[in-house]
Amino acid sequence: MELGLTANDWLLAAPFLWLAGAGVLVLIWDAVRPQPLAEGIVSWIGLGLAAVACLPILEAVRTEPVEAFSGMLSVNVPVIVLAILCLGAAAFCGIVAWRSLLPYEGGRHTTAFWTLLLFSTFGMVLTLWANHMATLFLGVECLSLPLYVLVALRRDQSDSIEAGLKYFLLGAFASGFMAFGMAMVYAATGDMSPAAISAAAEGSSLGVFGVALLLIALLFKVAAVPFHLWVADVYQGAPTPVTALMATGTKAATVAALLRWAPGGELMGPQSWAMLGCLTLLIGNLTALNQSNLKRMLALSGVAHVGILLFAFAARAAAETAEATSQIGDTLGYYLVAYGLAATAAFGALELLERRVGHSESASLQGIARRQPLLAGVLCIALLSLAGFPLTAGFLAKYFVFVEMIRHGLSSWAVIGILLTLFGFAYYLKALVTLFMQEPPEERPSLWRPDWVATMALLVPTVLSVVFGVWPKAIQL
Amino acid sequence: MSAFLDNHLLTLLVALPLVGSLFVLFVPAGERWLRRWGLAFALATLAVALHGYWWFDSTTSGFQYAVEHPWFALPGTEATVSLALGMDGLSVLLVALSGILMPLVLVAAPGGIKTRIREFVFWALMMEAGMMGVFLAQDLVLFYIFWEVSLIPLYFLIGIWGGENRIYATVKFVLYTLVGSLLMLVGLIRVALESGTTNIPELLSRDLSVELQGFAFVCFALSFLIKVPVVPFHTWLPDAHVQAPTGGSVILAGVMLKMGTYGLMRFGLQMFPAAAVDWAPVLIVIGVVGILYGSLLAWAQRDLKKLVAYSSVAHLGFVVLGIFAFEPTALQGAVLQGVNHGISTGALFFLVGVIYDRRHTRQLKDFGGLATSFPSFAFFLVLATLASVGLPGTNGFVGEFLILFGSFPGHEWAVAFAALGVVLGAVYMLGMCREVLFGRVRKVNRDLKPMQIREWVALTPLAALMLWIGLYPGPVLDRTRLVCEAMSARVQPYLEQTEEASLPEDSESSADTKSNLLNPQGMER
Repeated sequence: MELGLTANDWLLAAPFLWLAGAGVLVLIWDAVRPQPLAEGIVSWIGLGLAAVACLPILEAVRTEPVEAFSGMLSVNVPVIVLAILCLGAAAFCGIVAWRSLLPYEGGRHTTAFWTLLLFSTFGMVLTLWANHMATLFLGVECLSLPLYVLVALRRDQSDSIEAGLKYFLLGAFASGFMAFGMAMVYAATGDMSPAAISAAAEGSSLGVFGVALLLIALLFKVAAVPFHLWVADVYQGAPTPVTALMATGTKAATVAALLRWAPGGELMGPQSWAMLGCLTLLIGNLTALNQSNLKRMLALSGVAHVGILLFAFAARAAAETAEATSQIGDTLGYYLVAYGLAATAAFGALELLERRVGHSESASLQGIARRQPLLAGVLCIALLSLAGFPLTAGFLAKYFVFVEMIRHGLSSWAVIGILLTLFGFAYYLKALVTLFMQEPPEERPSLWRPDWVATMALLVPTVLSVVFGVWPKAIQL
Repeated sequence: MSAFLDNHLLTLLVALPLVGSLFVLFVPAGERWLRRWGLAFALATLAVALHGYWWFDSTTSGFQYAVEHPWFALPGTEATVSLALGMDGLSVLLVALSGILMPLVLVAAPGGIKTRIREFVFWALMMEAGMMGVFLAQDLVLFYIFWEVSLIPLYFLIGIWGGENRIYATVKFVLYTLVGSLLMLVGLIRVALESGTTNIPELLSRDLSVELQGFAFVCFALSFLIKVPVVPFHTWLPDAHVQAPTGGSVILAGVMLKMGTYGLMRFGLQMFPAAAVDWAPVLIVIGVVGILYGSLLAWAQRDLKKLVAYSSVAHLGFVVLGIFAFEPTALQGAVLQGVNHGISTGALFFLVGVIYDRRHTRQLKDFGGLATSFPSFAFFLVLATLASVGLPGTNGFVGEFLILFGSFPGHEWAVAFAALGVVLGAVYMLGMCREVLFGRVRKVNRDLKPMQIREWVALTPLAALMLWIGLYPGPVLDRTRLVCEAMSARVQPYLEQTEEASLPEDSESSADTKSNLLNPQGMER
């Protein structure tokens, strides 16, 4: 085997080089001459260049998937779109955190924040690219470890610490499952590519057990019921910019990994996937219904969205042709983009409101539309997109998933799923009641001065939510 | 200019209010100018709608002014969702009605809407765009999108500017409607997948499989019946009406409820005729029960607005009866009665608003003798009441008469009970008039502020329409005739199938009677 790098290797490695390079540069910069602004700019440039580096890959994969490093990495169109989403979410996280999280404790965590952010994004992209169990494991760990720290960055706040510890302990457990499962699959099949999963799932009990462990680890990472219990506390305890990153980037990367690494129809048939999706949707919705904290509500609603994503997995398990499977891949990609945009906008707006109010209890956000019309408008569109109202990307995303389900003979599950989304409408509309219809405490509420940079940044995912909802061709590449 | 208008007429009808709403949202202007801008956009839309009405070709039952642009491909099928709009005899009146009501709502708004004008005008225009879209959409997905889009503005209108209990009412309203529309989504996806197209004219010309029709009809019809609303699903209506601001009530009663009856005709009858025939007996019973139960409920109300709200349930029962009698005359009556209800109930809600702004109460017992102390109000109230009751010479008579006349052959019992509803309607409406307008004048009712100009402006066009349609309904009916005949003809083959199916089981003579009952022309054939 030749050891030299091919053109494809360089092509696929380019985003990693930019991200890792920027991360290392930030570290060196801090050692030589600490300067928060410069570190931020270096990080944004790194993220931007990584995104630019994705574009030639996008051109290359338009006809067929591209592999590199002798099959360790492999990409197709939805994966690259999701990578760009992750990079955007990271850049956005930096912008929103700029005036809240970064000055925390005199700004002494700036370097840590940027480096961890860049490395975590590195992990997301690696998870997306991974086509070998070793790269998958690397990616998931690279993604999670920096996040454990970022979640607990506000070290004097007990809920932040609690969130970090909880995420770390449970996440470490999941990583153990994953490694153990990979080992068993390898022992059973002697192969570490995604093809090994199907082979193992149909083979000996050792292989089946390994696949099951791997599946559990990934379901934990995407927060599917019954492995969702960490979500509410971690999302709520984490600093809100980090929550936005987790909801968008982590979810996109791990769901895409699940798509590549979950066994097709061998271990779990379409019915079991649909059942799992239904449970996730039901429990996510029921728990979100009665939350008095908007952030926690959004976190649990994220669980419900995973339920709908799992419905797409049910359709995939029922799909017979390769074309239909790749079609479902596109549908999932569209859903993740739609959810990611709306979640970014929602958590971002919540962060800006929290700065004034101090927390995200809905009782203190009453009538916020009178004080902060722009942010309330952003939240309104984001919530409508999450709920799945037409003219937002969220509607078409849900619509496409249900079309796939009905097309592959899961009509009754689709009916149940569609009716369960009604719960979702209930709590998103309840949030709109709080923001728009209840009166603020004072008689004549005054307008608040917004953080203009962050607010303008918020408009990007908001407007994109509407644009993709009105013009879905834009990402039906 | 005219060619441009004809080519882009429907696009303009949707785009003008939409652009207007966004314009109003961002334009830096004071409250007074915001309202004027909103009014300008609503009037421009009205002008376009009237142009469309005036030049509407009543010699064809097809879709006119149609425009179509491909939008996006439905994954995995050859179907392409398109931005397709078109107008036929079913929609032309409703489009004109929406166009007329919205400027009036904006004119009359200052009576009840004192805060957050910018948002109010935004949501009002947004709603107009949604309503126009519902009546014009020629693509299933587009129809669904507009259907939902028209929902959110009313959610905010009731929730922000409504009364004491507004949040309960608005959430109830939205959730009720959403249950239906989510079901419609299921039906829609199945229709699209199995027929391979979402284009409405294309689907209307096909005969879908009976099994698919049965499934889709239940999904669609449930959604429409909740919106209409018919009796078991009507409980959201009084809450929403009572809590809504005047403008919201007018739009809700005037146009939103018509979206339900429009859907029943467009989809229930035209797209799923076989299923419509199967379900017709049930729906006729539901319609008649709605007439009687709604009337009795209205009779029992002591709150003016609740009374008018329940009367809507009764009036729309007539429309449902007219639709599922499948007779061209009754269908024409149903289309017209929908519009009539919009005009007379719209006027009644405006009047409730007028008196509520002055007295801050809606209880019947608080009024009395207003005929002497507030004669202009009394004039409009009596006129709207008579139109609502269906006095000959007003629009209500034409609609109700056509429905009862058209449905009678074959549905004698239903019509008999429905006619009882007409009597009940007179009882509660005239009773309301007596209590409010006549009797001893109480001191608080003596010095009421006279009608403002904006109130005159809002009420006069509606009063004129009541008399105009009542005295000269010809041009209005002409525009609906062909489409109603086509709709009736679409159902006929399925009606005959049902008859044939029932023939062998029954004995010769009873089969004859049955076919006579169902179809008066049976003997001639």
